[in-house]
Amino acid sequence: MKLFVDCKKAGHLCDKGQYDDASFFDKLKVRFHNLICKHCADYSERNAKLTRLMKDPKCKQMPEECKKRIREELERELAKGEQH
Amino acid sequence: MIYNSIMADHQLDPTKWVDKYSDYLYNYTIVKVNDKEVAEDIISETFLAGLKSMKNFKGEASERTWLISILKRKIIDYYRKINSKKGKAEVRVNYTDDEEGGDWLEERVADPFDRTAEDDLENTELGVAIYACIDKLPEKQAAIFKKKTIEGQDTETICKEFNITPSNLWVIIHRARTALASCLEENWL
Repeated sequence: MKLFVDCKKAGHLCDKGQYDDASFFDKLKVRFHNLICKHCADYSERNAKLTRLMKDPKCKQMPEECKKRIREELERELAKGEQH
Repeated sequence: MIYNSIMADHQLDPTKWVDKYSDYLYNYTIVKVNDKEVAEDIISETFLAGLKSMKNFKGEASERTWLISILKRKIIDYYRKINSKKGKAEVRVNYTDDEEGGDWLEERVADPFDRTAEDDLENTELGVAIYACIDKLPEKQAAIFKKKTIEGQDTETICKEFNITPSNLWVIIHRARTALASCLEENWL
């Protein structure tokens, strides 16, 4: 197994790491790469910050059942409009 | 259909409203009314009102800006209703105490929203800023990013839905994340 990876691979593994789709060794590879690559180290930092923002409770999303309700309501109204 | 006959720079497509704008509008509304259910109702009313006034859409503003302008009016209406329920007597007492004449509560409630320019990201809340940035992504990219990041769907499910390979998905996610980071950078990162 290769412990040293190129920038492209490091960026990809870093992205996966934001979703818990990266293994322990994947994360280790990113760390090793970041030691020797300022560009990727910066990318990793920004990427991690973005993940924190997305998980912030202040970033809300409309509950799925509410979206469904509104979608159906709109569809009904649209169907009515087409009849006329 | 009515909306197909509108030939202008911007077009309306109500079938996509919920997917494209509901989270943005939700974040926008919830900081102003501070109640989930009220926010849900107001947004539902906004979309329905949008549907009814589609023929008035001239295509000068973007679909989102147009929906926001309807939403703002709905939020103001909501506060007007609350104020009238509270009883005018109470409000008038405040009015006579107030040295600035003519500035009674109802006007004060309606006022702040006009100052909130829609794309003024510096003054907006995090949730509004994030969804405004997501909205700038290409449509498919935004949809995939939301499913993966916000809804937490797994890679396989999304790939099937969009008929793409996992490596396609990761390229899309990478582009979306890079674009979002630079969109949010100035004020949030």
